Amino acid sequence: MKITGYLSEFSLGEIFRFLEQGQKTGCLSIKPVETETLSIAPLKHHYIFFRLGQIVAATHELDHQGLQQLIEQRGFIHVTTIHRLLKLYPLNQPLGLLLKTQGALDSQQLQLLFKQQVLTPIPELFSLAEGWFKFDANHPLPLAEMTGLSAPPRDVALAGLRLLRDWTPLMDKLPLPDSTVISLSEGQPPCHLNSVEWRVWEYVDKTVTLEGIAQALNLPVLEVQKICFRLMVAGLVEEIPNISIEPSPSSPTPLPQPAEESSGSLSQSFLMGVLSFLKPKAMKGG
Amino acid sequence: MEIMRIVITGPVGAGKSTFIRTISEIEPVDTDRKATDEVGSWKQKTTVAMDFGRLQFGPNVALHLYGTPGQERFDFMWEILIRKAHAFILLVSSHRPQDFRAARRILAFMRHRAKIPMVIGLSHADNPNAWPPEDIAIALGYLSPHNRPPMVQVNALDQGSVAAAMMKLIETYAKHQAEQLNWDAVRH
Ligand SMILES: Nc1nc2c(ncn2[C@@H]2O[C@H](COP(=O)(O)OP(=O)(O)O)[C@@H](O)[C@H]2O)c(=O)[nH]1
Ligand SMILES: [Mg+2]
Repeated sequence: MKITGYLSEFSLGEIFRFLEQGQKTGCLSIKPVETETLSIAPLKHHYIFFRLGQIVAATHELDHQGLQQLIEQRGFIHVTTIHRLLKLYPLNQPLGLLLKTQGALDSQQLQLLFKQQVLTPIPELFSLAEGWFKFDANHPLPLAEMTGLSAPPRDVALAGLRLLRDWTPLMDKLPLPDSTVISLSEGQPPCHLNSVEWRVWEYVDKTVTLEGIAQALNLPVLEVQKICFRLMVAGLVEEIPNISIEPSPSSPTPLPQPAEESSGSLSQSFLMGVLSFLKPKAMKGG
Repeated sequence: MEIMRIVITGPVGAGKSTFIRTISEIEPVDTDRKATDEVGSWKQKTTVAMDFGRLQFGPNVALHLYGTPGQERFDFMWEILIRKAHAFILLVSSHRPQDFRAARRILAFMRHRAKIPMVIGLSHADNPNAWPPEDIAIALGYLSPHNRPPMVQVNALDQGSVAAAMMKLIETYAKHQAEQLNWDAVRH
């Protein structure tokens, strides 16, 4: 099986969820596809590494230099110092852990590095007009790019999307104001929501439209759309588009009245009968 | 007349029309004039493209199959279809991950609106790009193999395969009904 395709067809949120829930290990690469819109900076490749469904690193190159450069940029350690250490100690664990064991970095610094590494690309990735993705389960994990920390993809996506400032590219993906949202997980959401997300979450499954939620919470409806989009990306809710029970005015005939009885149960003899009718047909085929 | 109404749903191209055509004893289009049931008779008066098929297996017993029209537009047609349905099959193309989202939306919608027994039919399993069933289950949001609807690979072009999927659905329905009866017996 190849897990590959266009982001317009299989969204990044879906890919994240699939890799997390399938506890996959490997490298997800994303190559932006040029669209008509002029971009000044050349579009960068993205690589996100997964271990058992958790994100462990993210880079722009496969040259194993990303984390070292980040460490230097942050002013923590010089790259030359890291190289000296690497001559003494073989890289048989994530670089971040190695540097921590050697006393060169502390936990807090590692956390900062990890956050910067994995969250920074998220807003850009979700805003791509189009991208080509590939998941390679045979790609070895790059120890030199790893801090030793990991995070669930849905938390990364949620946190990354909270950083998004320009929502223009996502406007047509937002749930509609007259839709409702239903939860996909039983009980409490399995990830960290911020306070306004919590307040919206309270209205999930209540058959209140996004517009209604916005009114109840005194928020702009666009804000509620964005929050619901984040919850959708995290796989917490699904949008139920508004169902017009009324036929459109152009409908050729009036609707039949809704049936008063629901489907009654079927008799045992009926079920046995249909099974024995289908059985020879099922045997004939493959 | 005892009729079991089965809805065949799924994204465009999953094989709904083919599935119904393969198992139905009638030509699915225009021949359902005699259908006395609400949806069938209503259908012939409208232009909404909906598949209808029928399978009569005794003097007073028949299966009616309804294919949902369009994609992702849950309109009043859906309401009418599922209100009277006994069970449904969700068909998903195994080789089109871009359809999994639509399939998940349909599942969420059905879970919300109709608590009726269901089976997931994985069509196009013969395609070289088909995903393995286990990965499709995950993509559809079913993480535990112990807590998911039955999934069957089905080739909508093959009568044996379609009949086997139908049997799975009817067995699932029978089991569900037996559980409900037991539950009622416990409560009374
Ligand atoms: N190879 C293969 N082709 C199929 C299968 N199911 C459907 N098809 C083909 O896929 C196309 C779309 O099927 P159709 O029944 O129109 O899909 P619908 O949009 O769900 O009604 C048709 O060309 C079918 O012949 C399958 O299981 N295997
Ligand atoms: Mg069709």
